[in-house]
Amino acid sequence: MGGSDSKFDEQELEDYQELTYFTKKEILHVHKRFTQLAPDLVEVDKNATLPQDKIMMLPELRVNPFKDRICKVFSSSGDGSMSFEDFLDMMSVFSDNAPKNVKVEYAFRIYDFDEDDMISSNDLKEVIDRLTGEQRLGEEDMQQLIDNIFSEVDLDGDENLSYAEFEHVMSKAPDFTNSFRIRL
Amino acid sequence: MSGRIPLEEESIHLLHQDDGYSEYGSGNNVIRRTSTRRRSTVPGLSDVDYMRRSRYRQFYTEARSNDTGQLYQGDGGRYQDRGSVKESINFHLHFLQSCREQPWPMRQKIQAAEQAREFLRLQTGRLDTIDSFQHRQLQAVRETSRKANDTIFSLSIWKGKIKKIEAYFGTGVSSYFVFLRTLLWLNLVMGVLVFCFISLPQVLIGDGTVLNATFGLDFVQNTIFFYGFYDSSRYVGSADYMLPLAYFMTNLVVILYCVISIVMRMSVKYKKTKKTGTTEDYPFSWRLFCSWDHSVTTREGVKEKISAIRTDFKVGDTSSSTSPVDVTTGNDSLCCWETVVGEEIFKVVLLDIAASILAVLGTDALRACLVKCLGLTQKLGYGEFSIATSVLELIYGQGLIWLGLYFSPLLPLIAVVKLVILFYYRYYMAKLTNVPPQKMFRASRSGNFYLALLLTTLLLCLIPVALAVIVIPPSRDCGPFRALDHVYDVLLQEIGVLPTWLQDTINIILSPAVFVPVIIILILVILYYRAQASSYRDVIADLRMQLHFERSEGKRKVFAAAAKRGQIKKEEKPVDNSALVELPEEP
Repeated sequence: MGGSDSKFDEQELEDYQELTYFTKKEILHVHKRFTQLAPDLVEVDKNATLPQDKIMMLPELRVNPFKDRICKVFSSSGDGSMSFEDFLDMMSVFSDNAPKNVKVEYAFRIYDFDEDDMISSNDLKEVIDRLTGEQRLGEEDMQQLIDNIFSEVDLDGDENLSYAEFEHVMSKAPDFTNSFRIRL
Repeated sequence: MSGRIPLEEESIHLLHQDDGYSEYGSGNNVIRRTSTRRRSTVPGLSDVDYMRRSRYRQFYTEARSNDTGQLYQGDGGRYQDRGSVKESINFHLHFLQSCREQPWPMRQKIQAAEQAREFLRLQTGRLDTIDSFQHRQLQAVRETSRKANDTIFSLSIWKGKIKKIEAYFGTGVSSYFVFLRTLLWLNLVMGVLVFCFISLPQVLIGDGTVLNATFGLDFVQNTIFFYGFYDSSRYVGSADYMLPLAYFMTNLVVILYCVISIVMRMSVKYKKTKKTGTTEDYPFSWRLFCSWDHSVTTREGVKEKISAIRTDFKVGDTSSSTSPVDVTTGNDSLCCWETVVGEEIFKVVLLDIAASILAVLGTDALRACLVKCLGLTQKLGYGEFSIATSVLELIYGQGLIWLGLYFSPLLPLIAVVKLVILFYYRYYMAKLTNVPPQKMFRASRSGNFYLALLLTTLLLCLIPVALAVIVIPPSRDCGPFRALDHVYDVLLQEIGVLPTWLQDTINIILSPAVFVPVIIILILVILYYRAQASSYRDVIADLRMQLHFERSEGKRKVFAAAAKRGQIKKEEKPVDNSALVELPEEP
């Protein structure tokens, strides 16, 4: 594995193991990958805060259509920059062992582009745009898709997806856990 | 600080809170300062109101024990502890265990956990021995499972290659390679068990000639690969190794291991997906929110995925098909028929390997050549990696191994070699000649389906083998059971040596007087659970209809009210009263 324990003391590793879905080896591996993003910064401070553009250089995030949202959501300072602990948190949520409810919680935050605790039709439009790339879906098709989604999920009819509604839908989605996963 | 109630015992509580910080401590000792950091992003809404209104209230965990109300607000709240010491300790223990699942930043989780631990440390003097014992048990279990996970993590082979596959092809195609790896481990364990308990003893202490692994067709039965090679004396060699018994029991144990391993994998998968039914409940929402495969990390892979998603949005419906599995058996009534059967199955296994290799060459590779050489990328395009066919091929191959295991014990080791070759072959072929499938592959549902199919194949393949073992007498000329009238006699022999009371007990257990009622009870239990499951399904369907009715009825009322006020002109939707059903009584 190559990761040395000397960077972290026992208590820190214990804490991380207790509070993430990783084993000790995996945590050290995550730190190794974190260090590779900005070796000089992390040498000085093992829990250094790296700016968003450095985090988005991670090969696993580089071409992800939602990379900016992912960084924003897991950033404890709220501006997209991440400390190692934020990074560890992120990889833990995206790991195989994270339970569904945790993933659903963060998925909701990622899709909530305007951060008003609701997924509005503008948020949905943004998601669709990101998923269809350069050749955008036509205006009609997009509106049709949004209407279909609201008619499925919007239980209180306010043209907004609250977390409760989102969780209700995703709790039964069989493919969600498989796709909401990043392996380092 | 309003709301702070004098506490019966020493505990950590909120001392002071202002604009950005909360201080926790007990008495005059400040233990921790945390910052409250949830700024309101809704214009006009103050931070406090925003926090109160928003779902980020989850920052505050609520836990109520039976009759006392205990609220532990981890960040800027009140901590009241009116309950007994035991309850608050339980609460803190529970909080510690659930800390990992809270959607808080890591720093916050660490601080909250530290607080809970400090509280517990302060209370250790008063802890019931039972509680602390339980807690320590839980810790011990966690430690062992973590160590086990660590070993599994280091043992996992081909991680890099599977990740490369995922990066371009996505999770669907990588599931084939993961499945292949699963089969590899299964066969490896099978092979090692068989080798250690059957083949190695035979080679080391048996009468026959040492390892003569020729692949010719004449003297094949004189190798450890086949049934005929094995000695039949009850005690073999100077070590008195009971080879025939070992042959029989090892086969049994190996099959049992396979069944348990597959069932455990299925249950783990099932727990993760927790489906309530096979219906497409929310096709559009699922399509939007679950389509993106975060494992795809190459630019080309992303392009392919986006194109697949766009097609999926437009089409609005997907379907997948599977092809039936073909399993054939053969039987011969010659002398040393077991070896003959073993040889035939061995040949089929080799044929299967050759077929897998040639199939890819003949289809994907040929197509890739044509496309490259004749420049047909637009008109024809490269072949898609067909996941379903490939996985079913693997299952078929595995079925052959199980079928032949009794007749050719080292077949799993052949399977290991085959799977290793196949992995690298399919991997490089996929990289060179395949593109990701355009149809959305429902990985998780298929995953369980393939495991179920694997289990079914195992059970089906057991049937001919079981028949052979029970009904057909073993060959007189060769093999470990040549001296017996029935194969299972080898076990009965040993039972015959046991003390009488044990023999009698076994006879009673196996007699029809006990056997038949047990089977009947099992059948009744199965029927009961089936009835319960089907009644739950009915309740769910009714509730779903009710929900749908409520929604549409509610909407209708809103529109009707608005229409009355003349704001919207909408057609009156007819109310479907048949949707209103009564819930069935509890069974």
